[in-house]
Amino acid sequence: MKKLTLTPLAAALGLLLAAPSFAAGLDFSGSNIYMKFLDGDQRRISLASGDTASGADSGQWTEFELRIKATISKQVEAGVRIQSRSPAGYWTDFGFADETSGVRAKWMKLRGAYVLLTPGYAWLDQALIGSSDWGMFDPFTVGQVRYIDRDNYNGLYFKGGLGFKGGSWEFGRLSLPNYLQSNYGQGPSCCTTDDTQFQEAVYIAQAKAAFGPAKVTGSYQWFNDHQLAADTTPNDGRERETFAKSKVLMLKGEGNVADIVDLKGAVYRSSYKAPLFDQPWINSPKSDINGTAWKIDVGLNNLAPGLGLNFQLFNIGAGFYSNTASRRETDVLLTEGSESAWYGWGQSIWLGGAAKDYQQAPSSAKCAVGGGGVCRSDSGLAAGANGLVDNAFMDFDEAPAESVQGWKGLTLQANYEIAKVALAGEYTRLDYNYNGQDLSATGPLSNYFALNNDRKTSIAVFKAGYVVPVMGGIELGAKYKLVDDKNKGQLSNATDDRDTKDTGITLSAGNQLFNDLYGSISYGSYKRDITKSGAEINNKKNIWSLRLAYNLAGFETGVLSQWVKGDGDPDEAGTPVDIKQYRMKAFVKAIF
Amino acid sequence: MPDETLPMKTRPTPKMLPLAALLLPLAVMAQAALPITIADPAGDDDGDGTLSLPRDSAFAPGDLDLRSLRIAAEGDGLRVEATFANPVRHPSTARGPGLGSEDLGVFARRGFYAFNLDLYLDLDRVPGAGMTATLPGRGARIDAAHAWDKAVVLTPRPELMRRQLREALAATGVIAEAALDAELDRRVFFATDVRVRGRSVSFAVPGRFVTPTQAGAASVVGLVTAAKLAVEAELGAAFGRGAAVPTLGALQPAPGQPQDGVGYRGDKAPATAVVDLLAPNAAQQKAQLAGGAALTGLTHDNGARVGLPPGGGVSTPSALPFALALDAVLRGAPVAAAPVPAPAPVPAAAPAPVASPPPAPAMAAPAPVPSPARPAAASSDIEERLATLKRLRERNLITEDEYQQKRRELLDRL
Repeated sequence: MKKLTLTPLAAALGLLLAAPSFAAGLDFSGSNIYMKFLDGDQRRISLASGDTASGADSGQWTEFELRIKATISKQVEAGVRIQSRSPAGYWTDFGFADETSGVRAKWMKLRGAYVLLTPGYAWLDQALIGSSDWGMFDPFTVGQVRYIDRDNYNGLYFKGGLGFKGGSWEFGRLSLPNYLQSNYGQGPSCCTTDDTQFQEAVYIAQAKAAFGPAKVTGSYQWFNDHQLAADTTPNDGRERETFAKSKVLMLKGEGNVADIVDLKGAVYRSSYKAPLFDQPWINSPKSDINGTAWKIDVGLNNLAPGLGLNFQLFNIGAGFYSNTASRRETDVLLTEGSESAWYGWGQSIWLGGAAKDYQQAPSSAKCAVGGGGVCRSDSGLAAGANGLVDNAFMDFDEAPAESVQGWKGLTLQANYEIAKVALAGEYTRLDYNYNGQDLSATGPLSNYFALNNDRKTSIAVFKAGYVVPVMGGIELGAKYKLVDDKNKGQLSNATDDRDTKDTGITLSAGNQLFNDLYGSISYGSYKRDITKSGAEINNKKNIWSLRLAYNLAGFETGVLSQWVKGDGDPDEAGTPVDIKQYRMKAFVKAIF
Repeated sequence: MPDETLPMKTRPTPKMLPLAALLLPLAVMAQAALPITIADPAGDDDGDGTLSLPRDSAFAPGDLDLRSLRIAAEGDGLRVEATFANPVRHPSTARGPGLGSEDLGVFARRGFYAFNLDLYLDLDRVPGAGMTATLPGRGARIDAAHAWDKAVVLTPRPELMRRQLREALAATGVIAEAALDAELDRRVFFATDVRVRGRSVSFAVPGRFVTPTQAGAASVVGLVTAAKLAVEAELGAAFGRGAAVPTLGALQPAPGQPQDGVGYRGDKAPATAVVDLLAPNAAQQKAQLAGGAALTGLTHDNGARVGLPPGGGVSTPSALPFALALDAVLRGAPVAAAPVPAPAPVPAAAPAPVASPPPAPAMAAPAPVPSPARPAAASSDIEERLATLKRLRERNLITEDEYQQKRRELLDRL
């Protein structure tokens, strides 16, 4: 009789027991407490948020964020982000003032949750189910979500290899928040609620390949926005119909031609069809339109010792449209935009009356007509690729965003270093694809742009920096910026002509005062000279700023105090005013 | 994290090591005139081949891909320029993982945020003289033939990282508090004069730390790690994640593809947190970053990227006190009851001649440890310190001469 031997099994078991076992882990790192203290002489408390850009300057604000990441196995990770809600002015409420208000009572809110699979297959490297900041695509297709909304967008994301080095594929499905949909609050059978936001999502497929030193990426995305159709027999399922369709095709490439030359290029083609209704929400074109956008970048590194050049040529069609394009991020174009010429605005009337700048409203020259001649087109803003820029819930030390829809032009940036002085300069010339006369009031872009535009903008920047080798290094900085924006509006009507010239000079000095403490002081002098219908309106202001930053492991705190003084007629009301303002923002962050 | 305290001879030898050895140089001149440029291959920002960058869009493929390192004289010191595959992104374009609207530029004020670059310089070129352990958070080990005497660290928050290292060293008690700053500043320099232009970031190294002559004779190990966007309290021990060894701002590999951390593929955690190693080719990088392997230094000679043979370097003070303290930091435990006085500094401007360098001198002998007033140490303390010494010798952190000298000193105290 043959004896049964357990040797192979024992050996296998032995090996199994000897193998290093995986230790599942629970990780709370990155959890943090954030506190903000605002002080100012405008005595305005923001009741709904920590937003200080709109003028609120008083209050104390605490938030707590709990991050939990579970490494379930080598292939499975899951995480959640829970965050309290709290407005600026209710620290002294102790959370008791209104228990029914999620904001005032500091309720905890689930901001994001995900499960990530990394199965390790060559063809499927990653599968994400849940929330993400969606920064893995392109600002002109699916852009990264702004930090304050980070993780709020849910979806599915898959990534894998294409079987050759440098080749990969990606697929994403973003479930859309209602404000990114064309039929938000619109349409004969549509809604002001989420009732018909069923199964609506942007789908995007992207592939990457490398050919020697060149990398090529292509993507295709589509979005069908539906609404409920008239249906007399709902018991057999409810009928739906397409409200709008959006498609975006992208092809881009980049590579090093030589050690000193970097080349990048991208082209985008969008198609938008809105067959059912001609008045969608302001985020979307009003009716059918196709659009193209492209940009070319050339970077010359170390062209000569200490010299670097960057050049960008771009043309973004007025009708180019992607509802998930970046709404905030500043890497859309090379230019630093109009930001900082007049930004750091101070008292709310220094906004120039452009209240729209701080809403989730499209960037548009339209306000030149509907806004009484004062509009965001003349204000200083950075760039986002979507018309629906996101400037809500900002602090006064943040740069606001402006849409680049319809922009075309060029940017040249140069960096040079001589005698340890770092020099940098930029020149940008902007023209606009929405320039035209007597455009249709019911045309596809009438949601965005005024019917008459003849606008051009020039931006010039010069910066210098030097470190004085005393006291561990005193960092000196100087900046000059000019933004000249001209819009003749309706050519046959001189009364709507507007020329806005912003100039700003900033001088700063900073020093690492102690090992942990950095301090800087700056002075800025800014002018905004407006020629409006032939009349001159001159505004000027200066800002003294004191900034301190203190940093330990797990602890960050900073203070920014500003004293603003100026005069002019920022409301363009014909009544000059003198303005003085003090404002301060301090924050503390503990990260553990 | 790999066990950085594991004695070298107990580590497995990877099959790739013979290949790496073949790739090492046959001969080079002992001293090169500055500037020297060392190139690094494209697309090798995956460490030992298993690493992946964080999924956070603050990191993009190529951001940590070191392409070249240039060391040039600037005054009596150096200007080092590192060039990456991508344009270096400014901290004002990214935000940390926590709450608040502040961008990274509030604290990462040097114009970059995504990476740390360490340079370990073997100035004396004496095999075995110097340190082989890298700074905390790197997890790599340097070949004893290229044991380093001084390290230069480019990191987004240099003041904070220096403080973190100082506190960790102080907690070991190895170096007397009064001598700690001087010894730290003698061994490790955190760059603060930094300029970013396009794909390059350059920084100044003062002559009081390393002179051009020293740099020209040195063997250089360069490595890139991913930098933490926010430096958390590192409460790993509190959450049961092992000892709270500081990471000096380097993201540590974790399984899978984390959102805010470096990930790795496969079943085995990588031996190091190094994303890109300055190496002539990807095969050598993989071999040297594999578990049990060690990193060899590089220099430049007529366009060839090679490792240096011994000799021709410039003498430096004994690395023993710092080596002892660093070893204790990496083990996550205080060791010394009796602090070791720091050695007297050797003037930085003590260059070896460019031509016909003299035989490399032995390392400066450390000053005697016990003071006359100190009572005899307890035998258990002596035993512990002997064990520490033995471990340091096994890891080639100290030379045989240093080992025997310190051993005699300890035994005399019994």
